[in-house]
Amino acid sequence: MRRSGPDRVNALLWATFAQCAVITALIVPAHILVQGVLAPLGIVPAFDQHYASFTAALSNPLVKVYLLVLFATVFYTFGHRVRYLMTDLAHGYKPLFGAIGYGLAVIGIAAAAYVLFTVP
Amino acid sequence: MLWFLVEISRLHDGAAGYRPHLSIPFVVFSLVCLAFALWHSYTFLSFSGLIMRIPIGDRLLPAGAIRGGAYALFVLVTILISALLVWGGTR
Repeated sequence: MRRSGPDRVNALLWATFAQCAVITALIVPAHILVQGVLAPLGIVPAFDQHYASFTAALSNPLVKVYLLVLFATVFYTFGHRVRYLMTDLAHGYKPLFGAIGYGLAVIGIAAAAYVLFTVP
Repeated sequence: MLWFLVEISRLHDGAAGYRPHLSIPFVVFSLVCLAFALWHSYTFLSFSGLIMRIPIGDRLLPAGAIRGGAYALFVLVTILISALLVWGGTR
């Protein structure tokens, strides 16, 4: 039997999505611009272009935490969008689509945490 | 982001095995991703004027001011993060 009252879990999922999407909107374009376009074209240097500078940056725990936040917000935003995209395309499978969307997000975040905290 | 994660995992290969993404196809792919990322930034920061309510006395800050503040924050954060990424590459 479904309990009456507000759907707090759904509200929490949407609130988390709003926060993650705003953080993603603020910080992701700079990473793509510098690391994906300007640095590969040789216009500017970037910390991930050389092994020494990359490992030096990642030796700072604050950088690792920052990058984990970056990956977590992006993967959660992706998972939430996947859930509601699939729900819009095919009705009646909301729990399954939720498991797929948030499952992908959890796998991505766990993989990011593992990679970040095991690199030299 | 997945490609960046792959790049980080390549650090396990050591200095001799590390290969950053430098190819032209990667730059083209990044430009497509950048377009989508900027679209996401534009739509979400535009929402800020609709959903945020900042009281000033018995009035509310106008939606346009909140939206303008969000865009200004976006420019500031982009400059700051870009500068840090470049600075990390010069060390």
